[in-house]
Amino acid sequence: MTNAATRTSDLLELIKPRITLMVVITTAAGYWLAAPQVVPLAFAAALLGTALIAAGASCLNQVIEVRTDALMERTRERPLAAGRIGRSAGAVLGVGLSIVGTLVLAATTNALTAGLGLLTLLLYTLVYTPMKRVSSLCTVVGAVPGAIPPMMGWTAVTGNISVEAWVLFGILFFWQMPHFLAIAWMYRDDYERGLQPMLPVDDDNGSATARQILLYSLGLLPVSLLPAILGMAGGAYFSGALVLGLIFLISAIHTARERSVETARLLLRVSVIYLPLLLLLLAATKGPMAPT
Amino acid sequence: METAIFWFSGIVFFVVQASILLRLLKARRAQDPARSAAIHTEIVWTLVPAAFVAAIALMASDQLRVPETVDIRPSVTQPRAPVAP
Repeated sequence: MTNAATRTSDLLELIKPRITLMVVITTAAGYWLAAPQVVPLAFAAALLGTALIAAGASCLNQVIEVRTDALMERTRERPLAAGRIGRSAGAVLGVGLSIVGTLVLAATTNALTAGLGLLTLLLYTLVYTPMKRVSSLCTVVGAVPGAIPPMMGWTAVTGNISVEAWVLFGILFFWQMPHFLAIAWMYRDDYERGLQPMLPVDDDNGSATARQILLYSLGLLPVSLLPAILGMAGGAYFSGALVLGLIFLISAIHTARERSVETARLLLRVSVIYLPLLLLLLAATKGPMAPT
Repeated sequence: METAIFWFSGIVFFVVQASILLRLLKARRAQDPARSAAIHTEIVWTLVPAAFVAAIALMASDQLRVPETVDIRPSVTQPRAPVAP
């Protein structure tokens, strides 16, 4: 690979493109559900601003975690941990992207959405990231900035945080827990090496992780049914969400019983398929009662 | 029907949550101090989803009511049919 190609690939890795894409998709879902009619330019601007903040937050996360990333097999090849990009360059890029993203949101949406973007950034970089070295509860705290983007999509249209926005937040919040616990289970040795006390690290027989995977997957089911009950989506959504939620729950029960890397990987795959399908279903069956 | 399924899944969630919580509270008393911190942490893990589900159910309480039986008796304000002379 040429130097220029390596540099481009490193910069791309620095902004964690897959996470940024997921943030954009969830924001788009919130916006789509709230908007009676989507104005393409405003829609694109809201997604751009959110994407820039997500990219900046990912960048700053790697700047803060450069030492622990270097200790873990899974992350030691990241551009900052491997020393291919300097820490200060990463910090400048992260701060720059975050500022531009917040300004884009402030200029094209409203103060509430820009504020939520800023809150997401601060929670992710100043609370969640340092907390990863202290307590397994970092996963619960980290799920908050992870769940705000669909709420931002909603507020970009409506300018307020209604119960519908909280429902979207809830779906993302509950979904993240089994998803991340499955990852933490798969890489528990690596997290231990990186001195990050995720729940499975101090959980020798996996009982605590199993309980929490089960509990949050069970909680996801009623929360994911709420859009149909609140009139955000039609009856087809209810049936689809119920089937998807039950598949997710069966996979979680299987993981909780077996407690193996294989079942955790299966749960991770199910979770990765579940969310886009649920959001697609939600978008396709959008209710007629979109707020004005 | 949809509301009933929602409430059923919510009740199952709260039953499981309460049983996990009780088990942890019991274990907290019996455990040695080294395990105590881990159990306290898991208690917080267990309380967070219940708090969220309860909060959102309260916020949406109007829409979450199971429909009552429709009263077909004529209302007192309903105009009566004209009486034939």
